[in-house]
Amino acid sequence: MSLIDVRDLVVEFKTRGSNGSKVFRAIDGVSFTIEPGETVGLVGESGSGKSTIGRAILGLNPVAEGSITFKGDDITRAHARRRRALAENIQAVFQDPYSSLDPRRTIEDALTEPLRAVKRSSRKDAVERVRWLLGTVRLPANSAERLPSDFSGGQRQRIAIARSLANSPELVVCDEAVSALDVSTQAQVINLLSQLQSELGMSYLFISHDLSIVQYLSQRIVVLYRGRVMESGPAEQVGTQPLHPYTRALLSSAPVSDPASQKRRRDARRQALVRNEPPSTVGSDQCPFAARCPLVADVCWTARPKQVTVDKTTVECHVFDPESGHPGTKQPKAAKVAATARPIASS
Amino acid sequence: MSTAQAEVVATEPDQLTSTRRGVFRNLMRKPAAWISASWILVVILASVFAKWVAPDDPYKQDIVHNLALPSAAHWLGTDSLGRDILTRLIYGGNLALISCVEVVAVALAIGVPLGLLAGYFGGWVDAIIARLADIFLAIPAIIVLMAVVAVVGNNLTLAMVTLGIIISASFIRLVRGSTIAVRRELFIDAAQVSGLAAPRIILRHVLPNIVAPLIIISTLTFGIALLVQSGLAFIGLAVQPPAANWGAMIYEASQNIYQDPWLMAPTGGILILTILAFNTLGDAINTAQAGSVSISPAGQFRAQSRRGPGHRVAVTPAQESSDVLLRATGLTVVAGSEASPTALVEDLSFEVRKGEVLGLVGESGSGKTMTARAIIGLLPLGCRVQSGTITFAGDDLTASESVVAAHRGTKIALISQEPMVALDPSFTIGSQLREPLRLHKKMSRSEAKVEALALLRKVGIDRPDAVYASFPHQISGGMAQRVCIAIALTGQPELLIADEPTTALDVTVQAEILDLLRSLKDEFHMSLILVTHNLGVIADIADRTVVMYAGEVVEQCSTEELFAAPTHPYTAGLMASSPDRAEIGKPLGAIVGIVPPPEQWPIGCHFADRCPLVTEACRKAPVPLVATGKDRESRCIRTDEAMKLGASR
Repeated sequence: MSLIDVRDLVVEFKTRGSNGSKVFRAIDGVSFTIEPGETVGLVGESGSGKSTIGRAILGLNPVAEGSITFKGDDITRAHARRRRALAENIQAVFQDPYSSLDPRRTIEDALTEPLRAVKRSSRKDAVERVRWLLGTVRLPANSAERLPSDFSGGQRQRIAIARSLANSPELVVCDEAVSALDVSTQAQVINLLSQLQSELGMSYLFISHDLSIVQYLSQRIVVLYRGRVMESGPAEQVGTQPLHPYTRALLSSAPVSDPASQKRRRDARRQALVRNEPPSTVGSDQCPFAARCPLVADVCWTARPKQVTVDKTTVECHVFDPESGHPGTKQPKAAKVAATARPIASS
Repeated sequence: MSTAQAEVVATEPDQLTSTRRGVFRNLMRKPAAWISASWILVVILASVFAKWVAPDDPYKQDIVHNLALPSAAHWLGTDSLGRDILTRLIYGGNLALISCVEVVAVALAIGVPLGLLAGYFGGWVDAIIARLADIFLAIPAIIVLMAVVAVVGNNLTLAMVTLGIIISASFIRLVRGSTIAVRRELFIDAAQVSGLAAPRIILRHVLPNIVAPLIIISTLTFGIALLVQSGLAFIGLAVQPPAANWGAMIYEASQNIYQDPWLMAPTGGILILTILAFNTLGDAINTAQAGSVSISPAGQFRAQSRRGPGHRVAVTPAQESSDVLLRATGLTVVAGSEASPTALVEDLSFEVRKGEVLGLVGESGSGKTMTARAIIGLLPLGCRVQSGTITFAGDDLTASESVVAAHRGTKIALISQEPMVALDPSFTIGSQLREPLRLHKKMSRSEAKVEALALLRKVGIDRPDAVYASFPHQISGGMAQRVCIAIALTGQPELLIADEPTTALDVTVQAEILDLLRSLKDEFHMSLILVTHNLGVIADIADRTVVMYAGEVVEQCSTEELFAAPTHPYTAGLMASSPDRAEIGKPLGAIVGIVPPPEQWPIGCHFADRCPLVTEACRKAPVPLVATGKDRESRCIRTDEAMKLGASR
């Protein structure tokens, strides 16, 4: 049984404009699973809805349609009491290490709070646990009495990670958890996250706009664009030889720190993306990427692509659906994609 | 794990210096604040201990000596019944303060819970409470009070409770607003995720974070209550003679204004002083509170006199080779007082050649943005160029504000990280483009429009007419950055400084903006200084690269050479940290520790504490930049080992 099973998730927000309130569909039918001990990467640009999905799993956003199950239990609309009990199993690390810690509470307060909220641990046990947590995230034990303002961004993010681990959760949602950090600090925190996973065995839902980080940390990747899944599959496949034109554009757009391969990617990118200001709204009955896609055909504007499975990858694109009527349809074979600079360790 | 742990623990504790600054300490540094606070304290103590402090009996009449001027027996004189004024003021203070406490207590008791509920839960709860507050605010307080007193008789407490209820509306609104602001903070989400129930979140995380505005409004309300209470007494409501009451005493003074004008001075004076003290204290708390919160420096950039007096006159500039557009020599930027300045950029030297893209790369705190700002003369408040020169087209830009102002916006242009912030939300894109064209090129309105549309087309905007007529909020972030680039191009710059131009943008948009900058650079024969933290962006666009760390150049060379073989351990570490180069399944080559803040920069190599190659010699003395090849420099005394380190990654 999957740890988390997200089925046909729809999240809608009401927006109030000058001409009455409108419903904006932030997530439009997203499905994926997270297995125990696995890292699933959720990658997409701003407005893709990646954080909204994380927040829906955490119960911070209401769900309009579809379901979220945790070990077979439906938690889609869990009421407050059930939700608080889930805090023991599902935790989060947020993007901004400055706003995610209450500036007026000491580190010890921040770390004991989840313990005392969920397990009603005694003060003494909680303090013991705080020492262990600080050691686990490699912070000195004397950090406990200090306030968040005494710490740098990277250190605060370690504290936020320690807080998420307080009750030994089975899933940690990392919502852009390293995006606000400098490169060298980011590497420290990424290493910490992967070491913690091998020590403690929890699953991660790793949400990021940075495909290279997602690929480095995840076993499976889900690529989102404007609230829809474009492609999902094994990290190695999606991160190096993506099928969907959007994933290809995303991959070739991310600059790599090597001038020679960057030049090759630049040329590849020019073919992967039509420069076009995307429309402000996209109907449910079309491909959201149509406006920027180099392979666009009439069918892309009129029909929502079906999910097609190619090898282990699932892709929502008419090109890979022989029955779609897309003129460019070819029998799927991993399409040739821009060379990447990344070597894959044989493990 | 244990080794990594040991490393971090070993390097980090001394970085944990407290930066917290007590609001109270801030407050007590202001004379207005402590004078007000002392006055209020004196009034409180005197009225509480009236029995012992007061020189006389408040009710003892002495008709013979009525309306007397100050004397040794009666320091502030006597009233129409010959009672001692000072004594009656002291006793009256008791009543005045109790009334104020009643008002504030009632307002807090109603305003805080309702405001918290409205702000935290929102929706219909908020709608109901907000309407309630609106109704309270619409009630004319003084008329209601007069009606209440008329109905129930001279009951001061009831009048004050009524006032408290009416005033609670402003408390509700304040608490609601502050709660909504705190509610948006991620730590509230984190607390929910931790399994805390709403009441505990409100008590533990919301309430403590809105205490400051509450204290301020309470202090101000004290003043209002005092005024209203005295006002009621003045018109003869809610007083019980012969009890001493400040308002009633003022009324009496006004009745005897022709026989004894002096009487108005002490009675009116104490009221004015006390109300003034409450308001001053409230204001002071407000500013002290704001002062303890660090304000982002981004908003504070403005042109200013640029040289500190310690400015060292530069030696005659070296023979300019013809292709150098800008040369910085020994540039040092400092912040803080003249006596103890803190260096933010130290002894920086680099050059930008014609038509080249110079990448300035470093992490936060490296001084890269400060360097870019120094060139264009827009250092943050409190920062200045202490020494060094920046030569551009034969002029020293650090010489005076007028020199740099002559080039700013024309020969040297800037685009910044937040295109949306750079554009003024209240003007159309068109008018923001026209303005510099008319200013710099003296174009007419219609000429400027034609030119502006041409520029919009040049920066790759397909429908320039539509964008021209739009307001900034109507366009996307990528489009806004294109518009900012178009504005930068209005002066036909020879040098474009791009400060993190793509950091706030999506990668697909970033790629397009970088392409655009590349093609514009050729078309307009510009040079480009690109400031970024992203090595990928450097690899994409920079011809040469300056790597900065903690205010210093650590390495500079052609971009190709840099990536092929870094000669500084920091550059090597930065590359090893990049996830796009990592081998999956192996840990990233992170650099241990954190960037030291400017006050803690060591005398020797700034990178020493984090360097895997550090030796005694590195810490002893400043490390100079040494040439490691043609047009190549590195600030390291072990460049050979550093190169091996770079190659082994």
